[in-house]
Amino acid sequence: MTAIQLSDEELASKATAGSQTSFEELVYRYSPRLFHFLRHKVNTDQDIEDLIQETFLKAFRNIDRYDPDWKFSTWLYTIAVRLSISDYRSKKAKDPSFVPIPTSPEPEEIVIQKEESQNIWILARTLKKEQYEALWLRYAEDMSIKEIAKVMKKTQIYTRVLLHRARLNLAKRFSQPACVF
Amino acid sequence: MFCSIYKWYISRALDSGKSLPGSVRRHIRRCASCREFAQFTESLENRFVEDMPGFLDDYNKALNEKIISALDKHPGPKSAPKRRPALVPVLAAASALLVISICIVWLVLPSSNKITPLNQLSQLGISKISFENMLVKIDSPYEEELTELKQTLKSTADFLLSRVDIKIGEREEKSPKVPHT
Repeated sequence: MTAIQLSDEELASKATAGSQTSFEELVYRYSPRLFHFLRHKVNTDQDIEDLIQETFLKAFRNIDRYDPDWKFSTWLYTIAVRLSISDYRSKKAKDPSFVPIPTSPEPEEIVIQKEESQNIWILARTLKKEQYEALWLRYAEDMSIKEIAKVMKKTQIYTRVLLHRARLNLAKRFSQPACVF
Repeated sequence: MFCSIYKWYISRALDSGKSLPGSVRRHIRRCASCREFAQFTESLENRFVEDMPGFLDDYNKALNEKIISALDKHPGPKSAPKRRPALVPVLAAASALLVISICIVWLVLPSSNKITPLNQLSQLGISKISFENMLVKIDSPYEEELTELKQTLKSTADFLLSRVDIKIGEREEKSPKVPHT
């Protein structure tokens, strides 16, 4: 069986046994996903790339700590979220005027994005940071409420509320008329 | 008026995987807004999955190679996989069994076994005073052991003292002073 056919958890257990090839397959699978997940959290593409690299390095160094009772994606995303928080804190400590990217786009931007593309993910990206993240983990990673709450360090009920608000806002944006004047 | 509550129910049913309550289904039949929301949220899963590949294409693939080359430079997992031994439940069960068995033995034992030695003496017809006189006459059974222990301690102390003296002597021999020429 080739590495491509194996599940994430099987690849992770092979990586735990010392197979770097298995871990590389996980890198190919998850780096684009992490890129789109972390886009909201950091300002520049360079920062995202650094954060993704750091996430994978940390996961590789600590792969023996991975608990197979959880999905590999839950573990990896938890690492990414924690690293992004500490990255934000260190930047804020160095420069108190540091402001993360605006979370909610302007209405004009929403209309332009809606006209430019029918891709629902592009529209979802215009939602608030937390709502987009919850949607991503729910639909792109197929995580349960419990897993999303664990990754986002929120309670399960708050996660449900986040998802509900995200769906409401997305529905509003879909039915929003193209002309805002 | 209660549409926001019904919409919350619709969203919650999606996350829990349960079917909608009858009252919500009846409301959806009557209310166009809630019906539209229910249809939209039901279609979300498919839409997100369908639009995923196009969305993921917007990613710099060179980053993968960068991460993999970084993995080569860094050390792998810190140690061999450690699985937590499942000793805790076993120990808990063993201690519980022990406590139960002690309780059973205590309950099952006949009451005659609980007679104290003094009671037994009185049963034999020996008075307390005569028993004390007998005790004075008998040598302590630990007297010999105590004397032996004292001798052993003394000889150990002598031995240790002699060892310390030898070591000091050896150090002095190992570092002889080299005369200046």
